[in-house]
Amino acid sequence: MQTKTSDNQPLNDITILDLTNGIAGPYCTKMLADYGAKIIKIEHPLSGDFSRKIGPFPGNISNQEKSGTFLLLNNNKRSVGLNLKSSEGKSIIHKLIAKSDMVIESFSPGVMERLELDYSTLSKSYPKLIMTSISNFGQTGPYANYKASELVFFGMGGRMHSSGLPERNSVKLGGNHVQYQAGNMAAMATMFAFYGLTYQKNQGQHVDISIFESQMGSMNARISQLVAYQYNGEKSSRAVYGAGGFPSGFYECKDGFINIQGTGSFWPRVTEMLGRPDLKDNPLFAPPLGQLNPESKEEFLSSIWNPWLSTRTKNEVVEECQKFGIPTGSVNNVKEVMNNNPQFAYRGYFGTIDHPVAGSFKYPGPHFVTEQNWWKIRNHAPTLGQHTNEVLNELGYSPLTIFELAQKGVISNISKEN
Amino acid sequence: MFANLPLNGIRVLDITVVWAGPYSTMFLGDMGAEVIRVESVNIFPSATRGRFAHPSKEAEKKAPTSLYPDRDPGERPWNRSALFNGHARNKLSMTADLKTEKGKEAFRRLVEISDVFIENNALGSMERLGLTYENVRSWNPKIIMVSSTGMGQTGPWSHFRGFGSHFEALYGHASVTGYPDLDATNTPGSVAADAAAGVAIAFAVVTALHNRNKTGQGAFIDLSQGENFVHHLGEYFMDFSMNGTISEPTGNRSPLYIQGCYSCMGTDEQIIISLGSFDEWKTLCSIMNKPELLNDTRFKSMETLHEHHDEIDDIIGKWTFNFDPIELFHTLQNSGIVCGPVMHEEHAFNDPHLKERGFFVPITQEDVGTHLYPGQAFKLSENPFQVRKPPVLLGEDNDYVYQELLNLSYDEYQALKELGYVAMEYAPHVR
Repeated sequence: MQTKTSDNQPLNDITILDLTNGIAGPYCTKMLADYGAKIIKIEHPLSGDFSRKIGPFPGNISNQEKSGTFLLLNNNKRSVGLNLKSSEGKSIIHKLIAKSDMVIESFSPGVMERLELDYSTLSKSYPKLIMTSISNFGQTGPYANYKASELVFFGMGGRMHSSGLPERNSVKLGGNHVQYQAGNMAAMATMFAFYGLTYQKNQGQHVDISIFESQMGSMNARISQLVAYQYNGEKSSRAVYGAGGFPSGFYECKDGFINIQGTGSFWPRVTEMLGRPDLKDNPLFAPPLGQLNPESKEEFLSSIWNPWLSTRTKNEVVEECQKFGIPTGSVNNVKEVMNNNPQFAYRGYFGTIDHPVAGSFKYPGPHFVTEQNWWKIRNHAPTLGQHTNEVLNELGYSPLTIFELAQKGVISNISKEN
Repeated sequence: MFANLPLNGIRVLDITVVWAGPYSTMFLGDMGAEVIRVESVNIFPSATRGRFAHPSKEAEKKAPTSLYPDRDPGERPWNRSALFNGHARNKLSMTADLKTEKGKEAFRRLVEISDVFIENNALGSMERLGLTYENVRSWNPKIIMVSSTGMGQTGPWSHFRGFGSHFEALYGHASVTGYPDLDATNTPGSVAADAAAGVAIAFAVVTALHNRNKTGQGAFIDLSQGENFVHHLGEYFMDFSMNGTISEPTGNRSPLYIQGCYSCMGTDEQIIISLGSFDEWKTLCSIMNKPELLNDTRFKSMETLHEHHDEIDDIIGKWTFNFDPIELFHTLQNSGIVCGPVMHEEHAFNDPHLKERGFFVPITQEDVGTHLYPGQAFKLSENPFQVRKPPVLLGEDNDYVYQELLNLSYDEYQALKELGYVAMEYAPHVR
């Protein structure tokens, strides 16, 4: 594919040695890469990044060059297949660190130390190095070596206790948001450290990202619930979403579902929209107390609201509510978002990326938009070891040495691109 | 001696509401920026300093949940809401009425001496106030302005109003969240994209500051919460892109694990167990003291465990019900099983790991007293978290902003105060 340059990208002066794996770490380096940072990604010479195994795969046939998760997370990076445990591998890593501004890693705590690549060791030789470590529970503390999954992260760190229905066990959010959010936070925190180094004349530092804590301090209601508990001793609990007033929450329309908040200060607008100004200040219905009355709610829903919804499509309902400034959204599936969606299509958000092995697919676009078009896909996600030769060449290794390293299994350099 | 805070010397004007915007400026404030919230005593933005400026005390007692200390809104409810105080440390607050000439003048002069202006109001709000990027840039060509809304600044849905969960429905998150056997009216609300946008805004600001230092140019950043969050749902979109798959909610299940959320001993106590391999299943069987399961023909491999997931959940759930979730958590983790308690607030504040890492920090604020608050969700070795200022009171920094930053004379400042909008209380007519 055509290679674009990083010329006008804000982070094009940052070089990163990327020792991450899975979702959180690679998402961190993806954000930095998409805005211009140069990433050298070290992968296990044979198995590569774990996300190469998790799919989704085209046709559901597993192939380490075709995993959707890997492809999404690793555009704009160069891949070097390298055995970190070999002495030659270590020597290569040290040469790369000497040329890098940052090392970003997501091993279990203790692994970097065993590789003699931990921050306190490296900072002696490279006082300006920024190292970001992304781990389940952080680098210190009694849970440092505990294992976790997306579900465990959300259950322990996130607001899972209040997510779901009261008569059932809690339910998680869709997908792997928690790990993405930790990567997002890691990118932000890494940039803070970089900014301090560059403009406050600070030294380098070690950024410790605990995926668990990234949820514990998350503004997705978790912070508010924790502070509220401090304030009044009440634990959060599961409730039908929107149970506090009406209309509030998810409702069925003619062809699907909508989510609305028409309670509180939005109640007058709802009465206007429904042509029922008589309800606006009627104490049986109006906030605050009318909205807490279950009989009023039942009457409103059964005789006014549901009949109104049942004759309208979800998009008609949203259009009407939006005319009156009432917070609403229709429930759209991935197809409705990705294919001919009026908003995403207008903004040209999804874009096609060609990959020589996986094929040509649509991918999500910029995290944020600037008129200078800072966000760019310069290169498709690398095949495993695609850039090993190129990177070793830049470090001054001769073709013969590279050949010998490959023979010994220290590196993998068979590009599958051709 | 700690290093200088990274954003020392950076001034941020903050007209943010609800969560995403304020979360971003919390990070910038924590990192040393001087964040000035510009607020109005004549407008109470929804879900920001609480739900109402003057909430009904009676309704607050009856409501399913309350955000106030002891459910009492108090004399100045806007300084007492957990909704706001969780993100309001390390910020300043001034009040101005941006609809008046004097308010506009104050804001213009603040733009001249600031580096960043962040707002996340409904589309059109800034235009009505004359605070478009075009105008703001003419007062300070190097300003970095961020506008963040649910769907972005352009396009047919750009004017849509909503809170996080309404937008999350629009761009697909609701369609993949919830119990697989129930219809969408039972979808749990999520505002995860607010948190994601808050972090991404702060990332964008530092990126733009670095760019400005290199090129001398400011920037306008249009951050759509939806576009930022679609990445977090990336696997679903890739599966549609590659295979046309339209994903639906899978509850707590994942193809990578045999897993679930199971009830434990006590009131609404739960534990999560995720088995990543058949060996872990065998370990669990031995811990459960159910060796007969190892000979059960239904359970012979991860594949067959997935086929009989409901039965597995039933077996595990009946067993966990006899245990305290915290004790079970340590027992299972020490045997190599991926698990964790569903941590409600009481668990969180008692958690030894968070204690050892100093996650919660005590903060004393005039209108609420002393409480523990979530600290910083990441750690920088040379810039440990500091609370330089407690959750900010409405208008707390009017004297500093008007007299020191804007150099108003005593008389000029008194004259402004008499107009009523330089104050520490919402006007009585504001709901």
